[in-house]
Amino acid sequence: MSFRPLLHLVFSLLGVLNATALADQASENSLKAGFVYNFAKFTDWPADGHHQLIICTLSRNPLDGQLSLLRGRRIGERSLEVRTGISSGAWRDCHLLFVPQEDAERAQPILRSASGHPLLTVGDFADFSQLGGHIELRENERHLQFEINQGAAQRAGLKLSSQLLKLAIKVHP
Amino acid sequence: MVSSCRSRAGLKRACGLLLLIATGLGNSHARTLSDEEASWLPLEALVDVEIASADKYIRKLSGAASSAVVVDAEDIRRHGYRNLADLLQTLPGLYVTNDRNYSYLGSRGVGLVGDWNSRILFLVDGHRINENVYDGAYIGHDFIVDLALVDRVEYVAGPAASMFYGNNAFFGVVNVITKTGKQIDGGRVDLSVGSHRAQKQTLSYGKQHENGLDVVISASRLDIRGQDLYIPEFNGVAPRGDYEEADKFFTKVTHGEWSFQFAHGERKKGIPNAPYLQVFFDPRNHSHDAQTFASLQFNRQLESDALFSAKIYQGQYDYSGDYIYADNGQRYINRDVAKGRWQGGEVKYVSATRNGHQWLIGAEYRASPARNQRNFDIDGATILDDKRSDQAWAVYGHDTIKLKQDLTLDLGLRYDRPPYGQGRLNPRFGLIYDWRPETTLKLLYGSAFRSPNVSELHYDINYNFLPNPQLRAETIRSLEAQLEHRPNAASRWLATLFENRINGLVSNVYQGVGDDGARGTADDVYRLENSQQLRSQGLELRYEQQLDGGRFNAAYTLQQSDFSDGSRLENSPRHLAKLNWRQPLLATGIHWALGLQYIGPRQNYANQRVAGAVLGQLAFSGRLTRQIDWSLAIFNLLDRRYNDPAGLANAPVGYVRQDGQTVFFNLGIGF
Repeated sequence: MSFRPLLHLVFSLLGVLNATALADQASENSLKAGFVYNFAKFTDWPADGHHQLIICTLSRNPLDGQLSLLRGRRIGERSLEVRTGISSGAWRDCHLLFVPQEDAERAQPILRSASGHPLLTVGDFADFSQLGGHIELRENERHLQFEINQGAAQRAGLKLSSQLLKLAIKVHP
Repeated sequence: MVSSCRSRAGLKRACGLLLLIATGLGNSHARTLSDEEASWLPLEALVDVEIASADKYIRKLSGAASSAVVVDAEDIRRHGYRNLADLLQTLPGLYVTNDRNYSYLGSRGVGLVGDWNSRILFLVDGHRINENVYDGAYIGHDFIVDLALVDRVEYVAGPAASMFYGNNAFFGVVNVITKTGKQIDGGRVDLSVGSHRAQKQTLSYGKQHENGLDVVISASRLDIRGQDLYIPEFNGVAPRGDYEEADKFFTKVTHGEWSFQFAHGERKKGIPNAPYLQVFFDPRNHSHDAQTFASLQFNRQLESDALFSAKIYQGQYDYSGDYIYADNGQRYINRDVAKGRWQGGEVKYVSATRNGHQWLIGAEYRASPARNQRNFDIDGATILDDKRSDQAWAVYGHDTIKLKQDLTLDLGLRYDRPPYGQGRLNPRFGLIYDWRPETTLKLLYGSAFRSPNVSELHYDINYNFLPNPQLRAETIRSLEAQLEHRPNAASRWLATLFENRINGLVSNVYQGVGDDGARGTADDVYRLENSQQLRSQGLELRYEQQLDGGRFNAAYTLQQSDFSDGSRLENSPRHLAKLNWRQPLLATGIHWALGLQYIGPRQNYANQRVAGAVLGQLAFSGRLTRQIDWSLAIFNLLDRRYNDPAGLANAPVGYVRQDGQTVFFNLGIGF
């Protein structure tokens, strides 16, 4: 007798044949840089005449260098500039502030004083949107997701595109 | 293949399985994206990409030419490995031999029982674990870190990695990388029970705080009552002779670029089979090993892919063993003690890639204020009191050169000033050719050395195993060719051909008869000498497949190791086969994990044949609530009666009976 049909049945039951398409993989930091780039792309700032779109961060080496690699990319008419290691008073030229976990404490004064100004804040730690931040990145089962605090963004005069709102796992009004 | 499947019933079953694997598993097309690709992805795609667990540092430091085999935390949990030895014996080309006192790891055909793993370098987060008296590393329940804290284990075969680690990285490097507090994220209690009245309790906590401070802390305790083993050579039972008790403590605090680690592990093991010509049996016979290390590390990521790291560390090792002898019928305890103390530092710099070059330079220094051995009879004479102190340093440089888009050259040079003997210069040369996008060819040549340890040089207790202060360092030259084929991102084929030439392997050489005046008895006199050339040649095939929620891999190793006079090496199986497979069980939330190993026939120290064996492990794991998970693992699934070869120290015992079927159950509660 042949064992094959039997084995086939057993292994089907065990779920072996369910091997389906798998998720692509990439390093955490490069993925986060990709998210920041997309957040910038899908946000409308009030017109300010700048030919650059400036991403700032307090950290000297954000995302292990991956954030700085966005430098020079174009979004529409504007090119991206990345400023690292800025002092906490120097956020006024910035369009987007990226706050990694290690800057959580230091960034709080900026979040308070920049509230209502068109500075898109992206945080890489839990409860960032509760603190008044605009977009919170979070990790869930080895995937990155994001939450949006739409009320705070609107008060700051920022317009987030519907595509962004659609892909967010949570939108706070 | 199909035609040969008709020939025999047993084969037919195996073929059916292979066909299923070939047809059923091959439909995944996931890829690992480069950093550049990932950061350009559209938003809809980004949310679907999985975060890769591979640690860039480690990859970078092991060099492009070496291929690491990786076992991750998910594998450890699903397969229910109890200790590092359980895990390592499932890897290609590796086999573990246990003499019921310690576990010895064999690699590519060389696994000397009684060498305390001094020919393989063990690291915890890049930190050397091998102590400085026997240069040993302990891989059973005596390993310094609990597996529950391990994020992954990487094994690099061959002297490829010795470029960065020097002495003892002779046959390979095993790097154990611990989890971060962020990964653990909370507290956890693990309670385990198992056969032979095993119980284990682990308490661990890990957290990354908002200010970036990442903390891991863990303590565990293991107690195994053990079996009442029958030892055929003595025709007697060793009641409660196989007990084992182990305690561990580990903490790691990371803040930004700084990381501090402290680890302590100690174990007491009953010895049931009376090695070293003891009287059989005395329950006081045991060994006790304690290891501690502390290290402070600084890592700075410089521009793009450049990296600077510096480290200082301190370590200590204490061993004490009680051995029971009789004089005129009066039993007495002989105590054997070792004390190792060391401290050191190292710096490493990896340059950014410029004009196709990536440089790595490093230097290390280690001082050993104590490499001491003592042996005395309780209430009696001191037989040995040997105190040694010394130092060693090394410098190395390595360059990865992208010659062409598809051709990479890997060049390295390392100079070691070992504690004994002259300086040693060891080169490494690798060529990596990306033949096609999914196929890579590698050619690798490297050499390495191992200095004799203080025990081999100076452990003289008027016993029938004599040390030899004249021993030279062992050297190995290794040539390896590898073909790697990735038909899709979820699967990988690896074929490796290797040849090792080992000069001066430290071996026991027969000198004459012992006190009983008869040859071939357990008290024959041996002395350690550098043996003639040993040549190992072999072939290794490996297949890996990522599955939806699981993993499959299989490996086969064929090797032969002969001395230049034609004699065979002990404990050197010609055939090794491995299979590891884990998957979710339908949609039940329960996972199953199967491990199978075949180890071919081998010889013990007395050239007696030890039969081959097929071993299996089956484990199930799942979750009761969000907070509570469980796992059940069955070891030696088929309840095979099998032996490991004994070492010379075990004479007259020639075969060491291993455990039959055992189970281990774990309940984990998170908080």
